[in-house]
This record gives sequence, structure tokens and C-alpha cells, in this order.
Amino acid sequence: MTAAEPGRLIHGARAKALLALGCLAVLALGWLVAPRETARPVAETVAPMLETEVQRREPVRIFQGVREAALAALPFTAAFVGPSPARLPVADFAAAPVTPEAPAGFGLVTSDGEVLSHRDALGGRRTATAVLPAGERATGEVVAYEADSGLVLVRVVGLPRTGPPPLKTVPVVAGASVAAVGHIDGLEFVAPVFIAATRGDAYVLTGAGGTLLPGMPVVDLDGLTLAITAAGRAPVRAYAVAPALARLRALMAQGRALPRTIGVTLQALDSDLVSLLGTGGAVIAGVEPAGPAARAGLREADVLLAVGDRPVATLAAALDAVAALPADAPATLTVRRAAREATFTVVPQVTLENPRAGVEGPLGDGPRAADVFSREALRRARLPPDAVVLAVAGAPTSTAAQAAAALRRGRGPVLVRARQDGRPFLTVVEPAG
Amino acid sequence: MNEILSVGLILMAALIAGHAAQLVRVPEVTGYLLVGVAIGPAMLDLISHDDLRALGFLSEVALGLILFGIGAIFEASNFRRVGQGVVAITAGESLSAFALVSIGLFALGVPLPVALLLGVIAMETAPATTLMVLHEYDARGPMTERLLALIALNNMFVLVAYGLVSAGITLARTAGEGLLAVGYRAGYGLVWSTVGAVALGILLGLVVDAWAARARESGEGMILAMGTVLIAVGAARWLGLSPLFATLALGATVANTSRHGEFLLKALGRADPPLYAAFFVLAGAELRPSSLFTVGLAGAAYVLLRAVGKLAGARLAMRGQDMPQTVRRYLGLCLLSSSSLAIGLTIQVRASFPEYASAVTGVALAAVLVFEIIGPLLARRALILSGEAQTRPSPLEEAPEPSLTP
Repeated sequence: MTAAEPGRLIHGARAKALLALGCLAVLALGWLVAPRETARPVAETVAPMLETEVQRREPVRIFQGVREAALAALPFTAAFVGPSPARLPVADFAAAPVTPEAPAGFGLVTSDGEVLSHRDALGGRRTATAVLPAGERATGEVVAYEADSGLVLVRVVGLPRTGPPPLKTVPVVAGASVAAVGHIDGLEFVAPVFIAATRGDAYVLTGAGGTLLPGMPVVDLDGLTLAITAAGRAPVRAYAVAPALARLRALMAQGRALPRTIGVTLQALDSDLVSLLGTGGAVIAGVEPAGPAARAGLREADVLLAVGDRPVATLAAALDAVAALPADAPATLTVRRAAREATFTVVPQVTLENPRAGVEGPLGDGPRAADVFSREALRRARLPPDAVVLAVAGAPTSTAAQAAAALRRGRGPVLVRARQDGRPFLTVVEPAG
Repeated sequence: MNEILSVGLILMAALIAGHAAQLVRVPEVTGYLLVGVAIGPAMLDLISHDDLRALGFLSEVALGLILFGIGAIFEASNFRRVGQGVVAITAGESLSAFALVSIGLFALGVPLPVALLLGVIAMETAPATTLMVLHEYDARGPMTERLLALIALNNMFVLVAYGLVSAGITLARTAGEGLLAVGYRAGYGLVWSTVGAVALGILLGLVVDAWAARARESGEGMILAMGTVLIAVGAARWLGLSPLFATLALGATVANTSRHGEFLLKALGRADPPLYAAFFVLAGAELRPSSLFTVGLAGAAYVLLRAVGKLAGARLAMRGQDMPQTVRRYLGLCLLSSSSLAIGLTIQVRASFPEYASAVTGVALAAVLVFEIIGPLLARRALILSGEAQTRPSPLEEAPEPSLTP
């Protein structure tokens, strides 16, 4: 080996040190002048937005395999928005982000001429317009809704019966590479994702660099459709298709396919509330403005005693009784208000919100609980210091001064309506001293 | 199957395949590759796709060690002796393979970008396979000496050519808008991945040089050399540099700066046999015999044009050079193996040009299968005919002599 000969190219500590410095300079310069990512046209950025870290990190063959499999599933994929075809933002879909006001998503065309999708694709509305694989548009209506998963089954008029999509029937293990797919006007969306975890018939998908749209069919490497996505940034939930279809059809058979709401948030009565409001089932903690209950005259702090003929002794019984009310038919609610019983007639509506999740909508604003009550009072009432105080003893409170005045007027324990994490609730506060 | 069991299985399969190869008088590397095909996903699936993915790092490490050894060929006085002639031969054989494959496939109706990309892949001569055959037959002589330098240069040529072709395709694709930015990006990628990798390799080589004086035992030398090669490969990947250039530059730097280069190479040689065996079995497991039946005319043309281009190009370049007749006659036969770099390039094509990926990958991988089988057989033949092959026991029984110059 000639390496040991004195004729080596570089010798001497000085020469080596200079060479090392030169190499470091080259590496530093290369690092500094590296081209930075610049803005690119929207059309180029939409698809990569949905593509993922997976593509960059993992061998490209996984992506290619999933992509090919996903494209095979496109004939069963429909693009959605609601409620009317005029509002379908297909043309500028890439530019306009999906928002609650301009919902959009995808769905899976089933063999029975229906589309399986997610309520967020429809913005909670019951009507839907689908863009079918060949480009034609058709409108339809939600015929079944599962509150826990948010999945909807839409019957679309004039939907061609394409034959069953190839469904995955065996369970999928965590770690599998899959892809969420969709298409609008020739734009294909393929988002490779991993199944991070499985929980029964639900999967947790992760690895999507961008946001997954609701209702995207999830396809495995064999081109079999296994799930439908919920919306949001990764990690995102997805629900196995075959069991979901079976559950939705069972709900239809039982006549419970479309849950009803009367537009209230119900809360269980704890011992403090019982002593203040009297015994009963569940208390109305919030009323959706302009909802069925508000129109009928129901108010916060009304205690629900019976729904129709069914007395309700617990919160669960109250929720079940409300969910079982027939839609669009008047029903009688019996409540206790100010130590007296009263009846109200409400007309329940179909809802695509989760009826157990409480009401949405503007609830007003108010002072922080810590600015109104003493620390001792907060502790005894188990009222979080950051909760927003909406009303004290029935009087709306938009400032700390109003709340303090209401507190002085009411002697002894007072009913306080507050909000924490967007949910209204009632509690009883005993002013200190 | 877990990875440890897979590695054990791979090594035992290599052991059996090595002996079987000796029995039927084919190079051991052919045996490793064939047993790889047999236990890989294509046939028995004892080594699954997941195993291959998990064990991919073994191949990278083995290739890094191989290139570290080849880099030592660039020791100055040694290279001065064979250098100029070798540069000419490398240019001749690789450029003629590129030209024949690109033009021939384009004439057959293959799209120009696909033809150019396949032309670049056709330039490659597999360093690992060729070196393995040289080791197995303990080859020494003027042809072996030139062959080692030629392989190193060839692989550098291929990487630069791929950089140029991919930059050209990218620029042509983005005609007009943002040309400057795209051009800068493409040019930067080429310069950074090569020049930056060389800088990294030299830097690490100087570290080895500074430390080698302290290393007294061969075990310590092995740790030093192995550690630096791993850092070179890993850091190059992290920085987006070419691991191939980095490890070549590392080997060349050690050879040119350190008095301990030979000691380090010898020490490293002890770790080689299991890694090399695993490398080739894994390479075999990646091959898809079924691909041979689907590539059609383009695949057949590629194989033929590459072989003709390499043989004729090398012969033309040697014309007028002062070298022994045996080298002239047989060197070309040693250049036909094609593997790791070709496979690496197809993966790059899939990332950079997905629209051409299936056409390029189909032809290139089928051709790799052909050349990986016939390449070592032809190289063995050339070594025997040129009289440079000495008989020696299997490298599995004795560590391959790490001294790369006679």
C-alpha cells in the first residue's frame, strides 16, 4: 500500500488545517446559499398540501403504490358541498379554504345509489350536492346520521348504481400505509397517511402534512376502501366503512336515523342545584337562540321533569327522551320553573349536530369568574376561575360590576350561569361572608 | 419475521450459496444474488418487503465501506501511474453507453427524457459486485489496478451526468416562468451534492488522520474506520449530499494524508465479509424476475445497447494507449455489472420525475437483474483469461485482503 510512502499528497499539520478550514467553508457556504422554497401557483400547492411527510421520508414506492391504489378507487368517490349547487366552490376550490360557511368534502358512492360522507362536508345541513366521478352533479338529502362518528348517508337522486366499491372487510393493523382520496373537476387529491392507532371500528390517521377534508375515502395498498375520514388536521379519525354502513342502515330500520333536537343544553343536577331548584331530572343550562325551545319559551334554569308522557329522572333519560321525539311534530315538555310546574309545546327539528354535545351559537360574554367571586366561593362552587359568568340570579352579567350588583341583591346561595370551553353550565355559588 | 432473524437467515443463506457457487464454478456474488432472489419477496418471501425496508441501512453501510476502500485507490502516486489512461477509458465506456442507449431508445420511440435517464443509468458499473469478484479470485495485475480506479471514476461520472440530465429535464419542463429559480435549484443540487460531499469526506478523512496515530490495535482501527464511514454516509444523507462521493473522498483523503491508511483498511477488512454477504443477498432480494417478461423491446434494446456501448467504448478509448494486450482485450468484460447505484438512481427518478418513473424503473430494474447475473460471470472469465486471477479460498472463510493495490 503506497499510503505509507513519503510521497503523500498532503503532509504537514499546517496544510491539513488549511484543507480542513477550506472544507468547512465549502459546507457552510453551501448551507447558506441553499435555495429557499418560494411561493408557487396554487394549482401546484394544493396537492402537495395534502401529501405528506411520508412522501419525503419514506421510500417513494410506498407513495406510488398507495397512489395507484387510490386512483383505482376514484370511480367511487364523490365531491360534496351543501346546500345548493350554486354554492359549490369547485372552480376556485384550490384558492378558497374550506370553512364552516363554505363547507366541502368528499364521499364514497355505495352500491345502493347512496353516498357515505361526513356531516362536516355538508356544514351540518340536510341537503347536499354531489359531483359525481364523471363530472355530473346531483342533489340529495341526508337519510341517516350517526351522531358519535358524524357519518351521514345521503340519498342522491339519479345517482348511477356503480356496483359495490371494493371494501376492506378484515381489520387493518396500526402502522399500515393508506391514502385518503378525493377529486374535484379533474384535480385528484391523494394524501398518504399512516394508521397510527385502531379503536374498534375507528382509526386514527396521522402523517398528513395538510388538512384532510371530511368524508375522504381511505384506501389501502390493495385498492380496497376501508374507512371514511372525519375532518381536521392530522391526527384525524376515520371510521370503517362496512360497519358504519351497517350501523346507519340499522338506525334507519329502527326509525332513529335522523336525531332530533329541541335546541337546549341539558345538565345533570348536582346536590347544590337540587337544593336551589328543587328535585327533578335535568336542568336546561343553555338555550339555542331561535331554536325550538327558545321559540316555545323555555329558559335557562328550567328543570326538565317530563318529555311527553315520559318522566325523566336523570340526564341520560332526558337525552334519550328528547332524541326519541318524532321530528316536526309538536311535543309537550313539563318543567319546574321558580317552584312551579309549567308545560311548553316544542316542535323538535332534525339535527346533524351531535345532540349530546350541547348547543352551539352565540352565548354572550361576561366577566371572568375570578373577577366576580372570592377564591373561597369559587372553590366551594367548583367554579373554574377562568369560566365566563353569563348570569347571576337570573340577571345577565356582561361586566364584573353588574355581576357584583346581582350578587348583592340575591341573599344566600345564588344560581350562576357560566361558560367554560364553549359549553354553558349552571352552578350554585354561596357568596363568602 | 423480526430483523435479527432476517439477518441471521440472510447470512446462513449466503454461506450455503457461497459454497454452492464454488461447486458450480460461478462467482460467489452470483450465488448470493440468486439466493437473495429465492428467499426474497419475489419467490419464497422469507425476507419480506418490510424486512428489506428495515435492513436497507445494511446495504448503505456496506456500500459505504466498499467505496471507502475504492477511494483509497486515488492515492496520488498510484493514480499518477494509471490515472490518465483510466480517465480516458472511463469517459469512453460510460459516454458511449450513455449515447448508444439514449439514442437507440429514442429511435425506438421511447420519450426523450426517459431515454436520457436510462442512458445515465446505463453508464454505471457496479462497484460492489466487481470488487467482490476481484477479491474472490485475489486478482492482481495491470487490469485489476486500472479496473479499481475506473469503477470509482465511473460512479462519479454517473452522478454528475445524472445531475446534468435531471437539471436539463427540469429546466425543459418549466419552460419560461421562474426559469432562473428552477435553474438555480437544479444547479445548486448538482454542485452541493458533489462538491459538498467531497468537502465532508475530506474533513472526516482529516479527523481519521489525526486520530489514527493513537490507534495501536487493529480493533481500535476498525472502530475508527467504521465509525467514520458510518458518519460519512449518515451525515451525507442528512445534509442532502451524495454518500457515494463522501465515502470515496474519505477513502482518498485517508490514503493521501495518513501514514496509517493501510493499517485502517486492513482493520476494516475484518468486518467486511458478513456485511458484503448481506449486501448482495439483500440486493438479490430486491430483484424481480417477473419484470423480465414485461419490459419488452425497450428492455432488450437497453441490455444490448449498454453491453455494446461499454465494450466498444472501452476498446476505442484504449486505442493508442500504452498498455498490456490483456488489458485491452478483457477490461471491457469487467465493466458490465450494474446494481446499487442504478437502483439508487431509479429511486431518485421516482422522487423527481414521477411521470417517467414507471417507464424508467421497469427497464432499469429488469436490466439490473440481467447484468447482475452475467456481469460477475463475465468478470470472472476476464480475470481467468487475462491471467490475473489467483485461486484463493472463499472470502467467507478468510477476510478479503483489504490491500487494494498490488
